[in-house]
Amino acid sequence: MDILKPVGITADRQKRVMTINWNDGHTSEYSFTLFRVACPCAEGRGGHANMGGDPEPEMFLAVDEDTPANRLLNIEAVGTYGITPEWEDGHHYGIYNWNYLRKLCPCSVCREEAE
Amino acid sequence: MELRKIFQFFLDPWLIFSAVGFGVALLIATLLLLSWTRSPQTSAGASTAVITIIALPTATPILPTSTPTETETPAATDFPPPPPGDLAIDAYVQVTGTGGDGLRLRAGPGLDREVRLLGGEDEVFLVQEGPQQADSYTWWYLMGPFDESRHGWAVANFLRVVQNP
Repeated sequence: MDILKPVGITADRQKRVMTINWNDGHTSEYSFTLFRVACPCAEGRGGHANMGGDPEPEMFLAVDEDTPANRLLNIEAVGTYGITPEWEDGHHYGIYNWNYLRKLCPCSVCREEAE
Repeated sequence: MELRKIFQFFLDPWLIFSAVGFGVALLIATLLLLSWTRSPQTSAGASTAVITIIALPTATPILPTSTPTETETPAATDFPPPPPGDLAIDAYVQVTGTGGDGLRLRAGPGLDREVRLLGGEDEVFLVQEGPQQADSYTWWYLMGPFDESRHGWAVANFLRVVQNP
């Protein structure tokens, strides 16, 4: 099987939703709040020691709110393995690889698989 | 005497030739197997996803949207008004305003034409042909920028132009 990777990433700044179409046909929809809360950078995960782990269950309980911290400005590709978003509060340090993004999919099917 | 026979056996030119030939064949087979098993992974990892950022609305009035009905030939009132005249060939458009129902992509312009596939809400397409008028609607021929099997004619009413990915 091919490596799991997105074939299309759409970030709708009006709806505050990022949609990823995967090469296995799955579609993931992330609220900007979830996308920001799950930032895998050292600052977001509470230190370098906590980086590289799977998304934590509490991330999916984050209350959606419209603040500079979760207003997306831009998304850039990082090589061929991930993306990095730029937020309105200036944060742009998180690198989300494909594997992490798929584990972050909030759909009921993916959440059941994760549990 | 026995040692001499054994020594002569290993010096047999046919045996040496066969051994070298077998070694070379084994090497070629191994190289072929490696290249065959590695190439799909390389190509899979080399391509990048199409990233589309949809900008925030500007001062331009936002078009009213409505949900299309499930009927095969919806009335004109079921469709939102067509977008401003910035749709053109080579523009990237996004399916919008379907309320999650998706947009039918048909084999030709017209409500009686065969439905080929359902374009998802927010899915991005590349405009390749059009416009054509049929059944009181403007139709454009769309194709998926990353999947050329996703193509067909769609009404302009549920499309909006997005920034080039």
